[in-house]
Amino acid sequence: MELIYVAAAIMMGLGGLGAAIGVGLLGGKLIEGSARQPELAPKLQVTFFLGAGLVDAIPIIGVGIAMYLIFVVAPGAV
Amino acid sequence: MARPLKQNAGLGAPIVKPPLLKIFLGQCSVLAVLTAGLLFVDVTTAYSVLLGGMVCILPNTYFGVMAFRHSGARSAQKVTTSLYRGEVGKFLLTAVFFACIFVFIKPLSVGALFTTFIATMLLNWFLVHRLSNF
Repeated sequence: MELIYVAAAIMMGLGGLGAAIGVGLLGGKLIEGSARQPELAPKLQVTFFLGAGLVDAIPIIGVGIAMYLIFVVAPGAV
Repeated sequence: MARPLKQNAGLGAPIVKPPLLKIFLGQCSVLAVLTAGLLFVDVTTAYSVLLGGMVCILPNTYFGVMAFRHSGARSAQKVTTSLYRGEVGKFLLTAVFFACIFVFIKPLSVGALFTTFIATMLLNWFLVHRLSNF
């Protein structure tokens, strides 16, 4: 049963790490792009909005599956 | 079409933001129709679909509101900070909503919940892409 918690932790941890790297890179590029071409800043912000949604989709699904493992599968496996 | 918030007469680009309310209402209306249709088939599936959709819609709306609290090149630092805060809030809200659903809602159709969650995410991308002018 402990392995289920380990699996959920790895799922959330690695997913969150990937999303953090992706969103961090996106944010860095947003600041860089805004500094280089201030007139494009609003458009870049909208693009960031869509990009962040794409980047964090899989980690968020991973969070959902991890919650399922923790609260449904693990108690039933006792 | 994205709507300009300010027309600043040649001083810079107009501030553009996606129509968050339209996106929210679009997602909610599709979800309401789907849930209403499924109520005649199976009540458990219907509320699982509703919950799956809401788990996606509410954190995404929070992220959208946080993402566009500030705009423009002069407040780039504030924009990025609020974007990061929105992202963290989105993750936490999703985790809390899923945990609450799995703990308190029984019986539950897990397949319907996750399918609707993913479908609503795809719908969100589609609406952001269609309704934003970029």
